Amino acid sequence: MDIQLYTQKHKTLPGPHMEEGSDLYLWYGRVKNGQIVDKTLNAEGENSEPLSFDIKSFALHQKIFQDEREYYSTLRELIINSEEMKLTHALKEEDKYIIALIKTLDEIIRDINLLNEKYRELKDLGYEDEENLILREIKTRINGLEELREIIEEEIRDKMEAIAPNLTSVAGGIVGARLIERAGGLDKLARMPGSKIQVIGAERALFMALRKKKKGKPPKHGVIYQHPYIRTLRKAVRGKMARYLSSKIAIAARIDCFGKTKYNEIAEQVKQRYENLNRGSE
Amino acid sequence: MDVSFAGLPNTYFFLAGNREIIITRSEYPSHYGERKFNGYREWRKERSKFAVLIDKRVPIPIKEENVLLYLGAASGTTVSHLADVLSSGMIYAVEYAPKPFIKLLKLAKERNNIIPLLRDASRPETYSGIVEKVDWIYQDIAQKNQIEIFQKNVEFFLKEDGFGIIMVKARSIDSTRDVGEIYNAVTRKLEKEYTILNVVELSPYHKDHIAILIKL
Repeated sequence: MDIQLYTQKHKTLPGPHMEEGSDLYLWYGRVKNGQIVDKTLNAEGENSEPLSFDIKSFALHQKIFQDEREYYSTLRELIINSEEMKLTHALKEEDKYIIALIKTLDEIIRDINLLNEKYRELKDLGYEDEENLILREIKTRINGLEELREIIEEEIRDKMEAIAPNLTSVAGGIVGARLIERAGGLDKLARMPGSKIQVIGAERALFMALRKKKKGKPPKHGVIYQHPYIRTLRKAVRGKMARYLSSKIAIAARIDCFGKTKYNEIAEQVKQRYENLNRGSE
Repeated sequence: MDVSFAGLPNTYFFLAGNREIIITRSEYPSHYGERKFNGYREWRKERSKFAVLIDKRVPIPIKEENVLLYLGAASGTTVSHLADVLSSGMIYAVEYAPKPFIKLLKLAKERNNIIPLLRDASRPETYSGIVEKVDWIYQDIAQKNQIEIFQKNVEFFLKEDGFGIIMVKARSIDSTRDVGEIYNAVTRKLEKEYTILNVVELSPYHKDHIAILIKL
């Protein structure tokens, strides 16, 4: 039997197997100058150019497998295992989990507020908890939701600590998670400049300021306003703090995304800056 | 019995009540909630664009022992029927999204003629050392650059005497232009490199979709 060679119609370059010394990576081994040089199974099999021959015919011709049946059953087993591992890895992208949790959290907070509002409306009509079943039920539900909210917040903090320790130490678990959610992932946040992080969540105000020159100043802070170091400062220095904090958040997110080490210095610097601003020494 | 051969291996038209349905011979359980008739599974036109081609009597010269590369396999609805059709052949099913891949993987474990690949169809080089030269390339990915992706895969894997089927969703190529205009642009692009055998509209089952059957 001869190797079936398929020369491609619109290919101008010869197949890489024809070039001297170039390696081809096939799932059943490595091929060099038309010879199998390394017979190990590998589910990756990446080659930059189209192969000019049929890998199955080649394997059968080289008697690497007895027959087509063995070829396919080996390949199938190898690929199913490797793709299954890849899949669990892909599904475990924990920033996706955190994003989902934050979205759930927002819904729950909205529900709590709505229920609280209705609860107060009913009370204003003169009804009391003791005499009205509906009021009591609403109160129980609100308490239940509050509990759920705490559980979710706890989970977010735990997971944040695990996947982004630096970001968590600088921004805090919940604020950090919100930033990841708004950015669309930890990697996206890591690629953002600090100035953008500063106004995440205040896009409306930002574009308003950019569009109409007369109306409105650009926003000082978006989501990061929820950070205690900004919220508790007096108004005049909040912008300064927001600028500093967001640039540190950018650094922290990059370390978490591309590295592993935890640096405590960043959080300390932020704290130092906060204390200085709070005391009014700047 | 109201059964007639549908032109593809293991595929038949079947009169259920007064409605004509398509069935494939299959010893396997229902995969996406389709009905089963002792030893046959219903191939639902609403779920699978390929079934519409059969419904419209488009000649598809596919053989039982053919090897097919399926781009955009999703959760494996169409793949499950094609695996029935290619009972002694092989399907390489490429899907990049993890969520639908869970179901595809389950299907692949059940059958012995599906090789599932969790890879990006726009980068055929990443599976070039795995997929052999194939008789068919079937593409169902609703993406703007789907034609380029198809061409790239043809270059990597299609045999000289191979065929291709492309499902084009007009709205993912351009959401504002006229549908007919988009179809024309796509067919003109394909005409340059391949022989177009058939262009089929998939309405009413799939809105603003066409199927293009090509030969290298």
